[in-house]
Amino acid sequence: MQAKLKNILGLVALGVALLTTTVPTWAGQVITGGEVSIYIGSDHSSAGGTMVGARYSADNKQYIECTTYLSTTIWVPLIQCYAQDKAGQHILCSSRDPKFQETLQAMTDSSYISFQADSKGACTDIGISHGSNLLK
Amino acid sequence: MKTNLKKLIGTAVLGLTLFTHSLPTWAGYVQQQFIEVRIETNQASGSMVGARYSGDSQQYITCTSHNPAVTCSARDKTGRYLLCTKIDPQWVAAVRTITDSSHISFALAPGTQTCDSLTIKNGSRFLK
Repeated sequence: MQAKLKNILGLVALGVALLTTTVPTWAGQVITGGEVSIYIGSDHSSAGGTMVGARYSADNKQYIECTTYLSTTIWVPLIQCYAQDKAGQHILCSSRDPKFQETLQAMTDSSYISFQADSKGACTDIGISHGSNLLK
Repeated sequence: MKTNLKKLIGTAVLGLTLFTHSLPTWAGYVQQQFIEVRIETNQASGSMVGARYSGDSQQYITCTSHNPAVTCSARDKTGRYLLCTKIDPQWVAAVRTITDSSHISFALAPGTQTCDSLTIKNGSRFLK
């Protein structure tokens, strides 16, 4: 009797453990992939990708990031965005325009980031998108 | 004997199931840097995630803005500590770009507690 009770309790514990660890994240619309894509043209280049898509991609090459620099003693670009795709192809843009720094204030851990550079590597546009479908 | 074998297989399957469900998401390019404080060069750097999930309970990096002032501080795992302040609205704007996963670096002007530089990186590689 005691052994049976033990078995039942064991099965219940197992059931609860499996239930709580196998709940999948299927609910809601999710942008699948969101990986970093890069376009390199003769007069301009562009890149886009989601933070989550890049971070949790299957490869260990791609990433996308934007940086804010400030220095009182040396010249620095105020902002810089960089993207590298899974093939290792990369682009970068820099700017000292404060409007882009303001744009970067909107970045979160789940943002979609896109940026464009002219032929000299100057940022001509930076876009930050947010959406429930971009969450991990 | 048969019952024992069944139990053994059952336990193995259970173990495997629980193991695969608790695997962390290791894929993708990742850099979670611990806090480094270099007193000799007045520099500190590290990532929010690297510090928060480090093995010790010492390290951290913070930046606070009280417009128009900014204060950044960091402590490494050995207790080395740096703090700097800067009064400049543009630095406040920079601190507003910090997220839960930023990588932060700052440096002090020599012999002072005034910030000389601040770099904030927001990138997929710094996510947990």
